[in-house]
Amino acid sequence: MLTAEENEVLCRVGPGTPMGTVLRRYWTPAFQLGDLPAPDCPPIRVTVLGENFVAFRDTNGRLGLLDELCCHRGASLTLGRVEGCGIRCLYHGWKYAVDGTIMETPNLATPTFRERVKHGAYPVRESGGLGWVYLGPPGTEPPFPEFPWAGAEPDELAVSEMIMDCNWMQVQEGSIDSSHVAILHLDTLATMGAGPRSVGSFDFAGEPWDLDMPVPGRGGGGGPRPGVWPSDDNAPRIEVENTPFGFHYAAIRDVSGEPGKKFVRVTAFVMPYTAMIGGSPGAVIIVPRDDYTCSSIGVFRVPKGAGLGRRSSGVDPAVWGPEPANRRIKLPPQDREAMASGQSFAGFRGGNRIQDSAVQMSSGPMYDRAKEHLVPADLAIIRLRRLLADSVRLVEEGQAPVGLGDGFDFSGITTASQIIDGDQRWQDLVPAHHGTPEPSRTVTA
Amino acid sequence: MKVWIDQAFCTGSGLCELIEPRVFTVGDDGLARVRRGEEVLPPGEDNAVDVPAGSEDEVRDASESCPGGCIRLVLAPLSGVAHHRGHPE
Repeated sequence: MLTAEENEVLCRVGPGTPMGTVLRRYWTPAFQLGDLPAPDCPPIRVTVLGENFVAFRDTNGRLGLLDELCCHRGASLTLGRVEGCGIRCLYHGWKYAVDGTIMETPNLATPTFRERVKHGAYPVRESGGLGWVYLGPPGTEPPFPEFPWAGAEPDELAVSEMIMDCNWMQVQEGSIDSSHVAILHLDTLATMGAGPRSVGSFDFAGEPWDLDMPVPGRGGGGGPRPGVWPSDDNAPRIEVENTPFGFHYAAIRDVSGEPGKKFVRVTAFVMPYTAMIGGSPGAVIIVPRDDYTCSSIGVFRVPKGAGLGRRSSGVDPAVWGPEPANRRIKLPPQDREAMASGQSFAGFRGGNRIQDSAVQMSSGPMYDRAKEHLVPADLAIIRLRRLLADSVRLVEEGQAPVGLGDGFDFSGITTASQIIDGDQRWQDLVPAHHGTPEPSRTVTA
Repeated sequence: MKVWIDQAFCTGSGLCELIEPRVFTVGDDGLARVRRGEEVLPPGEDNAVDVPAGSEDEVRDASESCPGGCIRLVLAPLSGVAHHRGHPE
């Protein structure tokens, strides 16, 4: 449990809040590059960390991220014209370059104002299908994290974004929560033919009913994947080790029918947004839009040519409506009949992210952690909160937050999902993790 | 900082021992106790132990995470009065 005050610190992300100040010290993925596909294309509004910005691609292809409202009298630049290496406000024609330089002020003839004032502008980087922004104090940018998929061609990456109506920590804590996988996502495992087919008194009666669900790492389409989940053990032991980028955690389960072996999933959590989940060819990135909404971004490597290469919620437009206006998650009705008949455990069609969204948003706009009861399977969540709390303290003391990975090669981060011998170290499965061994935490009785 | 276990509220999850085995241990009865080095102390406020240097963060994590809310911290006095933390009873 957290006190109400601790929960507020953890959850609120606006300017001037403790966590908002911390998050502004990291590069933040804020929009899909597919939304700004060509020079002088229409601009977009970007909502991140409780602030609104306008993003645009100028005539020379450069990206700009500016404060949304014109610094003259506050009209939204998202209405503006992108032209002549800048964006022009519709109201009185003030024009801005990608670096915030005020290029023209038609209703102000003298140049002094535009020579002395700059509009709010922020560094932007393009990587892995996403536009990453830095909203911290000028001159404090950490090295840009080049993730393993950064060099992939657009048609090798499936990038998707779902906007969820709840605080970001509810979703983030779900991304490092291995023990829900074979329960909430039982339908997914059954669809893959990959693992257990029962939870408690529930047993699948024949085939699951959602055979068309997107399967993790496949971007769509089911089909048997035996061996992906070789365990009926729903109480994994969790081990965590800090790394230069955040932490690795291992979820360790008994293997069905193979005593002496263990099924290990090693997930890398990269501060403060990114979970590279064990056995998955990519990452889930949770970014707060404001205190009560967040973006759940998926970036996954796919076979060449299978990448969407365009803006996406990851959901067929026939289901949610046309892009990009329809990225806000729409939960299908829960199918109680399928749940009762043994065709579905959770009753939500649409795969893992729909099932996750259903339970994570069910806690309300901002969950009060004073009412939670954590268990040993939640150790990675506890570590996440520790690193965030440490970062709040460090930044308040004038230091850098944890996990910036200065000098660390983020492209070498790996994960794992496999069966190993009982005495084998999971750390050996992720040799680039540079973990911090924690022998001092062990006592001999 | 001192710490003690209000064992009436312990749920036996073992989370505290996983987070900081230098300070917490779970007994044969499945309930948590604090330890001073190798010595395991009886439960209760009278047996609050000083948190060893380097274990403060872990003990706080354990207290914040405890599903029973039974890990009581006695923080250094700020104004002459010790500040207790833990579940209201």
